[in-house]
Amino acid sequence: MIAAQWKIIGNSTYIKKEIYSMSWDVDLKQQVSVGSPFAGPIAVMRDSSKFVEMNSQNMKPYLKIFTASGDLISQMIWDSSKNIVAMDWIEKERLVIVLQNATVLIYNVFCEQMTQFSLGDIVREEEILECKIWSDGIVVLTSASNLYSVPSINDFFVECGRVIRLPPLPEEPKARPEWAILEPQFSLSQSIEIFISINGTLYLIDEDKVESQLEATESIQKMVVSPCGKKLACFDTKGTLLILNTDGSTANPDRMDTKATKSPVLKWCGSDGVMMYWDSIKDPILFYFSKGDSWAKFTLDQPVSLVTEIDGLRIVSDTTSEFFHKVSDVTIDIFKIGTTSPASILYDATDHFINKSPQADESIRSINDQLEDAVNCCILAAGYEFNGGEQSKLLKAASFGKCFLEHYNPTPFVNMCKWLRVLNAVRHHEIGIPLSIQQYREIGAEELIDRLISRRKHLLAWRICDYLKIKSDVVLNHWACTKVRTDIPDQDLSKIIIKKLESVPGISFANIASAAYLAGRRQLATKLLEYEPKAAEQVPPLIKMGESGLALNKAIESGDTDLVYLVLLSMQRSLPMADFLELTFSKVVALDLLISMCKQKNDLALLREIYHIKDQSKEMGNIYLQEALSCDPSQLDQRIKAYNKSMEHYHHSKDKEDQVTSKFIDDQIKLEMLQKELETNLQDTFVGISISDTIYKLITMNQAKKAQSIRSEFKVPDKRFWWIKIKALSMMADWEELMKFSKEKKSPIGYEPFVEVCLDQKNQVEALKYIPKITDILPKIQFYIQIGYFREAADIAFKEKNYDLLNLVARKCTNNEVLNIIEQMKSQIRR
Amino acid sequence: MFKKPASQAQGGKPAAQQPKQQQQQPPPLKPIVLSQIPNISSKVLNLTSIRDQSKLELGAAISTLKGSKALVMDPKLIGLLNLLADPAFLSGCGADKRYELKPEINTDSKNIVYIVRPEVKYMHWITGHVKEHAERGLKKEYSIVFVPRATILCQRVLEEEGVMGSFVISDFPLDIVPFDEDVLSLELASSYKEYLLDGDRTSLFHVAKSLMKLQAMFGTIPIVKGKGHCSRLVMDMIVRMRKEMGEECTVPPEIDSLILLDRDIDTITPMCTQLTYEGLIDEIFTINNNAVFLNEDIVVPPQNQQSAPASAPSSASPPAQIKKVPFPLHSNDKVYSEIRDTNFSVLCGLLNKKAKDIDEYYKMFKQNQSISAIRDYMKKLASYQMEHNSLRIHTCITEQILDVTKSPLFMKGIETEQNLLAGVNLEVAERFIEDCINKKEPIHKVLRLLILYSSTHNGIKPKQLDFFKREVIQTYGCSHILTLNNLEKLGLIRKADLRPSFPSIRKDLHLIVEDLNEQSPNDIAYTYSGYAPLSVRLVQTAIKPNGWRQIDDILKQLPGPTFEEIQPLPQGATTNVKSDRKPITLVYFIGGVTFSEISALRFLSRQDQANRDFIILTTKLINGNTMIDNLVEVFN
Repeated sequence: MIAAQWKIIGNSTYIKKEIYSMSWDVDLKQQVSVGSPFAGPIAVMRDSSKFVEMNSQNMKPYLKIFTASGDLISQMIWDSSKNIVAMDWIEKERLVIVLQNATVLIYNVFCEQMTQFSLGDIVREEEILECKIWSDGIVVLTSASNLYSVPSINDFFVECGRVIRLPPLPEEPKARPEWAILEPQFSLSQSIEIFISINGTLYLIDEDKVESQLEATESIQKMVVSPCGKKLACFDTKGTLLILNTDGSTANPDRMDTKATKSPVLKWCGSDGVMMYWDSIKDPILFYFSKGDSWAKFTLDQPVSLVTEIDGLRIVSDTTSEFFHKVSDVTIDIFKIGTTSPASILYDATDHFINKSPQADESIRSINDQLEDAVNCCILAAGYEFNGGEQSKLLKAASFGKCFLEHYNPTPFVNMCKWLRVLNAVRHHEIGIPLSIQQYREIGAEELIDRLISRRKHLLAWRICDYLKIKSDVVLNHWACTKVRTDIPDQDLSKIIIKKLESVPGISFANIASAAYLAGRRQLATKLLEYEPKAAEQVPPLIKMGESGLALNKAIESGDTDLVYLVLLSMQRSLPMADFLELTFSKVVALDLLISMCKQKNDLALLREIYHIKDQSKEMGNIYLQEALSCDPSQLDQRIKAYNKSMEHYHHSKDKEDQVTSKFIDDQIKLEMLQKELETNLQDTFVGISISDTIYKLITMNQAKKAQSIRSEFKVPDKRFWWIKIKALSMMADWEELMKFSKEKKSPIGYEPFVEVCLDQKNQVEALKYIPKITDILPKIQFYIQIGYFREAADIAFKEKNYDLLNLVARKCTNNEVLNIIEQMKSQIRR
Repeated sequence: MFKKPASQAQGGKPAAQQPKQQQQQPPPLKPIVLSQIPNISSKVLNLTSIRDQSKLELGAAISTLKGSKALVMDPKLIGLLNLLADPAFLSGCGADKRYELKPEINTDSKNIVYIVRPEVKYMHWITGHVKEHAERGLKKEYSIVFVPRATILCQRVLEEEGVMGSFVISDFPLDIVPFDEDVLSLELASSYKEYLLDGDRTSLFHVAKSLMKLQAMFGTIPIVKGKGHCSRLVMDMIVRMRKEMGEECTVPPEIDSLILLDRDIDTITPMCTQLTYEGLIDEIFTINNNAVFLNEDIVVPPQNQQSAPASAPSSASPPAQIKKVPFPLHSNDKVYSEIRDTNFSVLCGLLNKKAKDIDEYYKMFKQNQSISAIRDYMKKLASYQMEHNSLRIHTCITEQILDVTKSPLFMKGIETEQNLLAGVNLEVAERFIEDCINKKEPIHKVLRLLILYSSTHNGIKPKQLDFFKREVIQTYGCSHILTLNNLEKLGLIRKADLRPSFPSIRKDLHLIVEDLNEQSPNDIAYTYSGYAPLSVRLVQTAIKPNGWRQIDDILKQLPGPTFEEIQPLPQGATTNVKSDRKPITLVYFIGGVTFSEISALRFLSRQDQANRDFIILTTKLINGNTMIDNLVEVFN
């Protein structure tokens, strides 16, 4: 009968049930012990402050880490010269030990040191008076009455040396002040805040300022913040326990006078109440207080260690581990003596049904309306049970009840069954994680998996993943990382790992490889990296391992040019030039990118080096040509120098085409020299413009002779020269010269261009002079139309007896008179 | 010879007249402000979600520095950002001052956020800014937002300059930008050049990424066909990226098939002058980021110009300075969406008809007597007014285009293009090209013709080529030694060789269509007045039942491998059979696509035998000029 174990304290019902009998051999009288919340491990070390009878077992001081069920996970010999000032667990089940010399050590559950750092010379010199560790940080109080905080120590190595000095204490303490930490997730300032009692006054200190919080009549000896962050338990020198609100809103605090002078260990039980523990060797006492007259006293026969949980308190002794917590309402509903709640009736009815008693039917009928609530109640109650038999009885009741419900959503039932299966598995003595359902919901499945793998319970973790259908990548990954640190030979190990991981799509091999590399197994690391699907993960470790060639291949295969650049840039830094270029040259893609990079960074020296080695005269010629062209025209010497170099390279090319190019450049040099001469003679700029433009400019400057000489120097074809000249003349509106030119000889480009250039300058009169010279009929007519000489256009068409052309003129003609004439013409042509 | 080009068929009469509104006296026109950002929710795929996501990412990227800040933008990104978010959004993110990135900066903002493509040049500019501020003792916060991501090279440059620590660096993974209901672009201006000339595959990686993004949103695309080296590389990357991802999201596939095409396999089409309305606007005025810049007096309705005399320079300011303002061009403009894809030669007719419709509508106002009829009338009034205004602007644009197209030079150009395409009258074409050089027409025009010549005739006769090269260099300057080098390296211009491939391709793919009906087109060739764009022909064959197998021989003559692959769908992603919807084919033009090609694809999707919707994705919306733009080497 469950209710038999209940203890009524005030208005609430509590239970203190045994979870495990401890498998350890520990005498808590002589040891300090700290347990990690969320059913975490317990670290135990000899208490140096206690007088201890030496025997063979405790000759050497050990740091031992046990599971919650007392199984030894790991141990190490502790160098007793290291003086410990604080030891506690932080997030992710990591053990933090702070030494008197201001060194902080962080261990995992295997006593393997994860990291180590110092709080700094100032802290060391001021001497640590007291140190407190919270779930992700440390706060120390020095003898100089200064507070220092180190937040987020889990990633301390990332932000090296973030030791924050908190504001100075508001008054000089006469005795050692008592203090407690409010974690950032509960504080208004979103960073840690400290409650500190100095000379009878309670202050709140955050990173920026001190705030006086509350006047306490007595000095406080002990202070603890509740797991929910809302309450603060204080034990003062008069032996009174006060429960305050952390937001400062307490008007009339719950208080209890214990009359005790010695200060007890204070531990919250969930956020419901506070357990006070006096650990005198003769008769240790537990005293529980929640509010008003809700209190209870437990006498003990042996000393205990207390671990606060979010929903209760773990009480660990040499022989047992107990869980003390408030009984849930649903459980009370079902099991309270004399209860007639629907859930309890359903529970009983299930019994009747199993016993084939007709009473079952009757009971179910009696709660027909409330059956759904009853079912839900049973499901929830099952969750609170640690005992498998009781869980299944409650679930059976729920399952029986839901048979009578038509539209019942089975999800809560199914989920509860799953959760309990997982919880029962991890609660097993051998695993020793006695999570309650509330704790499990708080941390979630992923976090639980994390804890299991950090304890190297890979198989169980993997099975849970499989069962809950969550990704097992992390588990396999961690498993493999653990394996590479064992001494299985490379060959076998790579086979084992690849076989296991290959079937998981998209799983990362990169961090396993990194672990292997760190473990000095470079070959294995390279082999494993082969299997990494993400190039972005694969390439950087390859670079780190010095496998430049392989890294380059992989980067190219991925198609991600940025990765190729990453490899190229790191090779450029780490390899001798010759090796770097040789490797790069072996891959076209890489070489192209290197060239492109040189161009972007304007690294001409390297570019020339590359072209030189590759014997690419054409490209060499190109870059010198570019260089020449980018030079300012005023620096002719430099231009010519670069042109010459360019020409030289083109000339040396085996390609015939490039020989032609070298001639072009030769011409260009000649041109620019001539242009320079022109500049001196004519006081105008020339260098940099093309041959045609030079001729054009000279004509517009009335330098026909010079234009002519340029023309012959560069063998400008007649046609082009004529075009340039008539364009220039028309632009100058030198119509006389244009006419003269047109008569010089028969135009090689015909006379249409003459009309065109005149019209471009909107000079119809001049244009008209050239139209008759045009030999083709169609353009002739079109030009006449364009300038509105429809009659002339019509005449030509008529003369040609071309009906279609006459029509064309007619369509465009806007003059009615002419239109009539055209009509006549048309009728004359038509037979 | 095939159909006459647009401008010749055109009667020469100015385009549609405005509706004669004066008689009916409808309410005055309100200025319509059509956003450059199109509303794209209506079409087959929910492309808005892409834009919304980018907008969120943009907001987050800008907000890397808190408080008010100056936003300094890469000139190449400004227009693109306009397609994502309006200025109000940027101000909402605290970017109350906005500048174009230049070598110098002048701002009093304490916080400066740079938003740039990862280019080394910019890193030097920005470094300059920081150092200059430090010298002057100005304390500022800096942040660089890289689009689409920071590269190791840029970071290295900042490191070497010793300013890396001054910046908050973040990525804005903008790749796909929706331009319209069916057009998406990465707007990577130099992807074509980078891969083919420099061997730099960066843009291909982004192409693959963009496809992965689309597949994450709209499901794995079951069928992939592709042609070309880039397409093959992209396909390989996709396969690899799927493997890298491990598990895939199980979105049911909405896109039926994907066709990957390298620009490289059809360099002919972009070299031809586009003859659709949209294409011609792009050729003549250039369209950038869904907008064309027009004279202010065209875009702003006449009434508004009068009502704002303060802004109208009455006497003092020089009249030559006509302000250019952007005018949005996309399918939200009802008139535009009806005419954008049509051949220019039939445009005037369409505009006239539209004008008549609106005119009819305004007339109704006088006739309508009953209250309910008036209510109906008023309901539609706003949309008719929108159309009226849009019609007015498009008529103006058409007039300006006509000025160009009716010039003899333009017509001769078109004729030359068509001769080259048909492989006739080569001497005339050569003479025209020579003339263009002699007249020093824009270099782009000359190069386009040379490329077209070379691609359609398997190269240019050696003697002729040498002549052209010499003429170009002597006329346009010796920097074009490099330009011609580039073009030759890409194979865009080459010496004639023996294997004549184009004539057979032309014949087998029926690229020249003689019996074209321009009024109601019966073939995609209408987009180029008789030439069917090769790229779109390939798409057209790909979606036929036998697919590309029937033109195996032709495909072999085009560069790069051909492939057809079936992507296995992830478990759980079953093909959702939505019978009420046409299948969707995504056509990815790697290296750019022209507006006329898009028009041709739209035409295809309207045909019964295709019975599918096309979504067009490209690395850049291009025309012949922009395609070769970064191959042309100019030094100042």
